[in-house]
Amino acid sequence: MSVVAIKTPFEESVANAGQGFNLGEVRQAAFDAFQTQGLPHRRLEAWRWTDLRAALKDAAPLATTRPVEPATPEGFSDVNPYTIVVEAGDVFWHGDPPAGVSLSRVTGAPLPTALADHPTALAAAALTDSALAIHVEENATIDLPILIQHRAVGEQRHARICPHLSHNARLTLIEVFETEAYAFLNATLEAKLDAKSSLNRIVLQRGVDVGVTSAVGSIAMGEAADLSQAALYFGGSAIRMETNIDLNGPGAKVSLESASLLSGARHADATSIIRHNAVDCEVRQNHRSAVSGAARAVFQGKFLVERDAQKTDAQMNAAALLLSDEAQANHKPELEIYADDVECAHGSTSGSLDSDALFYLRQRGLNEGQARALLIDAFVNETLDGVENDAIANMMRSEIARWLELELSNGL
Amino acid sequence: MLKIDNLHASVGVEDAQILNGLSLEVPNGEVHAVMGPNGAGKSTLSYVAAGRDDYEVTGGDVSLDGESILDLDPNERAARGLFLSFQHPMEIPGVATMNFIRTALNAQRKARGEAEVSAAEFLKVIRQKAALVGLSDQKLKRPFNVGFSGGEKKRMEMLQMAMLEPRFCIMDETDSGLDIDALKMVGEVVNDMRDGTRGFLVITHYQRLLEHIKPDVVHVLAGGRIVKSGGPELALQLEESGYDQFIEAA
Repeated sequence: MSVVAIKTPFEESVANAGQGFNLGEVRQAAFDAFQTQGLPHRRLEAWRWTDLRAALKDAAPLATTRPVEPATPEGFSDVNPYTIVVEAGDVFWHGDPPAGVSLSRVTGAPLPTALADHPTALAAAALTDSALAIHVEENATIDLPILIQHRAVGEQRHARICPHLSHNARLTLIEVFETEAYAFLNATLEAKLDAKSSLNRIVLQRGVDVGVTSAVGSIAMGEAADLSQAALYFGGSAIRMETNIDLNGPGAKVSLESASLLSGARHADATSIIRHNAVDCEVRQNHRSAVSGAARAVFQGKFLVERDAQKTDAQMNAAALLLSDEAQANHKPELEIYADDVECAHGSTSGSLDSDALFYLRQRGLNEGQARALLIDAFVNETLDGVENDAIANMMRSEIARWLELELSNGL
Repeated sequence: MLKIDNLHASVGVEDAQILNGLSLEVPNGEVHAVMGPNGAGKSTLSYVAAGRDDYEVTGGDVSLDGESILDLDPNERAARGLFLSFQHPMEIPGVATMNFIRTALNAQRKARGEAEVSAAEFLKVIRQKAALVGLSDQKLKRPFNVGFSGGEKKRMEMLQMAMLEPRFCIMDETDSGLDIDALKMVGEVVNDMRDGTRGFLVITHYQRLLEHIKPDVVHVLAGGRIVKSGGPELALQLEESGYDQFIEAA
């Protein structure tokens, strides 16, 4: 049942954007579906802690097309990636991608089944002319990381990125989501990992207090495919970072590490659904939140283990460090299991900094701020332990350090 | 000199009074042992001196070299040269051991207006001192105390004491959980650091540590105050006759 009676300016803008054009079947269907659903709001269970409708009650203008020079985003110069920029209503890249990778714009691609009813994925499908397809050849190991920069400055920007890793291919993909001024970034990652392929996915979400972002990943994994994901979220006014994984082939392996570092009145929602459709798959998921001020960290994690997914070995853990009286963390870990021979576990904890550890560090000479910063850093830094590329790990660590410094200067 | 004068302190929501007029003085260069039964207030004494904020001082004073330290933060007391070797050292996952000790050393030096120690110099010194306390390079590369045995954690306390070179050391049951070799190591570290100016307050249940660290004075702590003081022979006497007489007296 749709309870959306009056359209918000954002919803109006989407409706207007679609009028009078021949959009093709897929986009038109996405428009129609979005018109029916509208933006997600807190009366929907999956969005109860992330009210996009309220956050987007004013519509930022849709990005207009203009040429953009792809440049490596701030902090990534040591990583030296191949950069693709989602800017100004289109996707831009410079020169040839690394050998073994081909890039193309695809029109009329339907959303993957996992995202077929997803409200922001529908908006992305409706509002983009084309999706960017990244194809990695069979047996290709791509040493050079590919970086996708999603950036919106006072505008709304929508994008669909569709990587396909062929059999035994290996790729490191970095996604940076950045807002400036009141802006809405909306993107999908529609990835297909063929058998024995391996994706290292790095996600960095940063930007301003008033930024709004919805980044929805859908990753379909074949036999013995491997996904290793490390993500840092620094929040905004409403930030939804969602990972949907379908384990379709036996023996697939997933490591999901993420951390939200939130201050002021910021919000970040780390949501994931992992569907186990095949035997012998392994999942390790850890989410950590460090929350100060009146910020709110949300974690919603779900393992859905289908009847045939025997020998599943899946563990989920979410831990929140609440650094002020007003800081909030909402955790919803869920297991839904239909197979009978599985090992699945989830844990959820929240608390403040350990006073024994604080006293210990201070007795050794660290002032209160230094001691707190060291413990917070230790807590969130584990997110990056599995990142094999040193330059990327260092870059991400310096993002954490920068946040901690800012917190320290604000009297952490 | 560490001077504790008529110290009264309580802890917890019910304000349980633990220290009841404790007084002692450790002149520079001396080693004093504090012995006493369980619950006498030995660890409270060390926490109050180091500035743990869930303990409330309800009377008296603690001074270091003639200046009261009770109004100072724990890190300020540390920078003045007060070191506490913890009875139960923390495991701190995610904190790189060497980075932490260097941060601590430089924080103290900075607070005293001294130049920071370079990474190269620090590395040279910590390797030497780690060998002295019997901690391998491998252990130094681990997150702080994570997966360490009780004995290894005490070795890490001794390493920090040797690295930070404090003016005054309080050792809270450093001997608990130690085997004979480790006990000997603790003795070597302390004796190495006994330079005629540095003071030590060695809190212990047993005489055995004092075979390795010869105290100048032994105090008996019972019921939150010092009930008897004497020479090293007092420790031997306690070993024979136990604490009962003092518990009754307190």
